[in-house]
Amino acid sequence: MDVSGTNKRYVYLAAALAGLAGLYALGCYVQPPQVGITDVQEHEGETVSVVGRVVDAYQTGEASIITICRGDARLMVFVPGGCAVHYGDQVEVEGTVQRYQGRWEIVADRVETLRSWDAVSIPLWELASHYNDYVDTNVNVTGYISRLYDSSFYLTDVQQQYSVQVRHPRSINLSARRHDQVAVRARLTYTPDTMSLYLDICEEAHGVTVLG
Amino acid sequence: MPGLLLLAGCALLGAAIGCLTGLIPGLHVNTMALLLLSLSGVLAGVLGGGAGGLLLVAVTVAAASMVHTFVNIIPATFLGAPEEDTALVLLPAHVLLREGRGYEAVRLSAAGSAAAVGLGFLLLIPFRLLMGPPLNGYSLMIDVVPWVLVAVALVMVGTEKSPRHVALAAGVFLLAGIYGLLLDAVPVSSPFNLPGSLLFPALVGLFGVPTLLHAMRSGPLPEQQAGEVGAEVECGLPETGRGVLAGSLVSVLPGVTAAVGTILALTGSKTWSRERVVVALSAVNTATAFFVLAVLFITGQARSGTAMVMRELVAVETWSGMLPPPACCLALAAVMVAAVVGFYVTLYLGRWAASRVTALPYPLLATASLAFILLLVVLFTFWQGVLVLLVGAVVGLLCLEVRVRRSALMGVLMVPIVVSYLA
Repeated sequence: MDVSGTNKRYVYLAAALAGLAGLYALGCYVQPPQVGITDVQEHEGETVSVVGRVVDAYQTGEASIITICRGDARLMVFVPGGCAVHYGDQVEVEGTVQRYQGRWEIVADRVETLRSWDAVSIPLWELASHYNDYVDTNVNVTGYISRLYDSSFYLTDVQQQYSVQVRHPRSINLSARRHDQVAVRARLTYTPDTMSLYLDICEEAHGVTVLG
Repeated sequence: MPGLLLLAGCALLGAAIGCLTGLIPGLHVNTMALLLLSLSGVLAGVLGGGAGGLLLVAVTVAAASMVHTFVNIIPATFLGAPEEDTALVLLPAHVLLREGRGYEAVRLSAAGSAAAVGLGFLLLIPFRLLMGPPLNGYSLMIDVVPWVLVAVALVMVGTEKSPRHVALAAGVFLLAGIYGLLLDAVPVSSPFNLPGSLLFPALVGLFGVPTLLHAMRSGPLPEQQAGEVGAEVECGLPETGRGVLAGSLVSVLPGVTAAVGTILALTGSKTWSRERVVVALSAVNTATAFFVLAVLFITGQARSGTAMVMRELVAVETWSGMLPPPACCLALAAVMVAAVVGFYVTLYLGRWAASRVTALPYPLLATASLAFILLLVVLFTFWQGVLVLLVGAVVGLLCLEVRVRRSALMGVLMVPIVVSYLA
């Protein structure tokens, strides 16, 4: 069949549009396998998806290097174009697994924040039960102020079963009072000298909000 | 500081690696650079150990990236297999091949690349003064990147031969742009864990497949004229200068590759002959690789995969004075050696290819090229890459059918860059 020039154009256009729709569907429905942090070494050279919480992030030139964790496992992620994540953000990383200087890492094609660290506040008992997951990350914790000092206060749950010291700069003027229910946005840190966990208000995004 | 003999040896090793990556479509020089990085500990030990050894590995990477830009004209011309940086040169080089002047296309490209290196050295100090302190032009340029690209796209589309073709070119550009945006979402995997990018099948589909399909229906190639390797080659200052300027511009801009530089170089060059286009585009590619090295030392920013690897290997001392820091001098010396090697190797291989390309009937050679490219696509990007290639081929054929310039297909690269800057 001899297809005229005009018909050919329409055929190519229709095929191109169909092909683009197919690529779109492929991108939506064919996702790389999601693997655990401890399983990445079995997928060297492959594109995988990994979920974890950001425990470290820094810029190097145009790229970002972030560390994500899940439980005790940690994984470095190299993001060539950089990304804006915060300590404590729950992220999904999609990229290629490679070995670099003896350790496994992912060279990311995409980093998506599934949940920002301050989007959902967690109860104190959750923090106490799974502190390993949250150490060195930003957290948003609700509780009650039990004791109040110049540069710190103690946050407890309603049954006063759990308690954590919240440290803040003296320059912060806390409007909260004893027994107030508050939401604290801070970094959970572990001090080896005293073998203690603290909530440190040390960044601009940190603070205390009185809830009631 | 490593000795001259070691330096020359590493430059030659880099040149050999660059030849390999330049001749094999789909095998990017960044891949070899990352491999060298992962072996850097061992290699540095062999090369004397310590910082000096790592510096030599970095020099090898710099030499490889330089020679790659010389040699990649050969698969583009004789096999119709383009890379990102040779996509636009494919058509004029192929036309020259059909005229029996395939070797001349290679000679012009080698000349353009060599002249770009020479001009690059002459412009190095002014470039440093412009981009670094006190003028700090680099910061200003970053802010205007998306608008420059939008302007280039408007000029590219707006200079078609009639309003109807302008509209058609805009449509093709947007179609290619959507295609480019969708590539990011498609997962890529290789059945042999080879590092692959969907950009390879995309560009082969857009630029290479239509050319090869046309070649499969064509008559035999005329006898190729293969001149002497040592014969003079000529290239003019306007096209080389424009290529070097475009290459130096894109070497600074994040996310903007030499391929976009080729579009910049050709903007407003409607009346240029094919020969001048080949020279300009080759100059862009080589100038980009050259100035990326300078940008690494002037701003500390790595604008290519190889520059990123180099930054991992050596302590990049900022070039703030008039003279480059020692590590930069060594890298530039290696680049100079690599450029000379790359020039003669390209001519030699081009002459060899020109004398062999007519051994097979060209339609059969085009079919074999297409099969070879398909094999590479499967090896590097599996069935996803084949799908991407097919879609790209249809878009490329549409571009030919509506008779607009092939540069409209570069929307595949430009639209994602503009979107990423503006988002």
